[in-house]
Amino acid sequence: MDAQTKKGLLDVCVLSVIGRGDSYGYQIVNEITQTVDICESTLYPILKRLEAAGNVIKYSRTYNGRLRRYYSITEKGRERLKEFDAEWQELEKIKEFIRGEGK
Amino acid sequence: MTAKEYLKELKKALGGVPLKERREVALYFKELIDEEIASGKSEQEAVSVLESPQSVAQSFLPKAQKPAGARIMPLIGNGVSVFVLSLLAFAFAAGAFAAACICVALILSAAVLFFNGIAALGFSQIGLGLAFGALTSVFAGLGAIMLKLVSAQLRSDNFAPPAFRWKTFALDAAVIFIGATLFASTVGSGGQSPAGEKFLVEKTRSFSAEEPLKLTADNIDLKIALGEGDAFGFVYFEDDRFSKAVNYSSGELSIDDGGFLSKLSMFFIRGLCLFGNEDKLKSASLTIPADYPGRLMLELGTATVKIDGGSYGEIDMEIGSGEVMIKGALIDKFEAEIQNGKILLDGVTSDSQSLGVKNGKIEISGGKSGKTGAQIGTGAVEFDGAYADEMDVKIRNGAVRGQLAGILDEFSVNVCLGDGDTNLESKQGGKRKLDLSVDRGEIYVDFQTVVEPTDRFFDTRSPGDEFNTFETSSDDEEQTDSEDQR
Repeated sequence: MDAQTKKGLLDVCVLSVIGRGDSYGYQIVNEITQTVDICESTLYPILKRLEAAGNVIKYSRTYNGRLRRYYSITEKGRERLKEFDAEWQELEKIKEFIRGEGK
Repeated sequence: MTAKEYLKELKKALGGVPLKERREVALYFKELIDEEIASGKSEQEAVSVLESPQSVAQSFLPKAQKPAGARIMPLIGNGVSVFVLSLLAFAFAAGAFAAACICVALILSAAVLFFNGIAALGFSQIGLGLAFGALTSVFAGLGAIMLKLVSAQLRSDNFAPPAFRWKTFALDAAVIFIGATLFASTVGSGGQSPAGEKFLVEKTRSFSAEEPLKLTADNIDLKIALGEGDAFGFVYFEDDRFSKAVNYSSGELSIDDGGFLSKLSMFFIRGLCLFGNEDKLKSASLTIPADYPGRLMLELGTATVKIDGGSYGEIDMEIGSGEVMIKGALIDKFEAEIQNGKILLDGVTSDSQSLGVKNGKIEISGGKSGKTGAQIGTGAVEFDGAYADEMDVKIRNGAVRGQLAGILDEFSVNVCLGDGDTNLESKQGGKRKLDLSVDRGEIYVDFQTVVEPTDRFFDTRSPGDEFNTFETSSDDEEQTDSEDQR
């Protein structure tokens, strides 16, 4: 897969994981790796990007004596997911067109 | 690899990343390790599932610093040579080193000033002590700020200015401000005593008969030579390390074989300074020039003070227990106060004399004084040809007796006797004044026209001896010495 395409998809993957409920780094990695091969050092920049874009917010909480930094999706993040759905439908049409199924 | 080692290596590998980002990344990976461990893995296993620190670092380092196709030059712009970059790096390193040196110097200066301030306080020079303390504060504050700036700059590898923390800066600035203000006000208000005008060591310790100076250590050789116009305070301080001869003249103090603190003391002490525990001192002697126009003040616990000849500006003594014996000296102003003991003056010439003995005796032979005041709690005042334009004697229990130089007609006499006998009655008429007041006791005073000087107190001085010696000793020694001298 093209790197840029994969990068965009990974952002949405992470956002969708967080959209299902507040989550933290370790949990996000574990969930995504069930579908997509992603390493820890890849996730971190994605989280930073999403945070910088205002799609998620970060907060810390202690759990069993260790610090967890949770990420929570924002309204803007949810809008982004909806945008992705719309974009994906366009992609489906493009795919159908490429395969000649739309004709 | 342990988690600690992993994180340490990661931080090291992230050297080119800004400090804040580096901490964030390290925290992120620590969180991952903690979660792995919490899921049941060992520390080593938790670390092993992660990417290597170097691999992680590659994801975060700016592209310019990546090994593959890396280009350093764009950091400072295209066309800048390696030579210029090297020069800049060298200049930065040199600057950082110089700044660090300045910081260390400032902090060392602060330490030196601090110790000087403490020492000055020990000598009752409160002003100087505060001034040094204030300077300490200023230097320490400046040093702290510079150190923080330098260390922040060194930690930051991207040449960016360090994060500015108002709280830290405000604290340092406050320290400097308070110190500077204190220093200015202290020096401005005359914290430093002008040499020659004022006694530098005004009051170091009060002694009394109940609490005399404790003298218990071995003898020390303590000699002080005073130059013309020097002020001097005789203070007993002794330390094992500094029990050496002390020479003081013309504003310069030197301590033979002295130690670090003693040398430092030259900054602010114009007088004797031996640090340590005065309780250890057993005896000491003070040698001053025979002709000393300055002021000499002695505060002694148990002491025998002898002055044989010479000329002095002012002598002021406070002695707990002992004797003061002065012969043939010229003293502009003489004050002596003894709790228990004697004051013996023989041929002493003064503008004024103020003598006080709580329990003991005052003997005045010959000499001449503009004004003599003598007070006794219990004891006697004895004259042997003493001369004074104004003589004022007050005794609570005891006697005043002997012969005054002159004839009765020269005196205006005022006798005040509570309970006792007297051979004198009050009268008016003479230019000289004689006030005698005895609560309980007797007054027998005669007059004589010619007085031969006596030589009761002292051995003859050696020819060429230009110094007088003041001695203090322990009780036992003092008794022996006094008897021998007599």
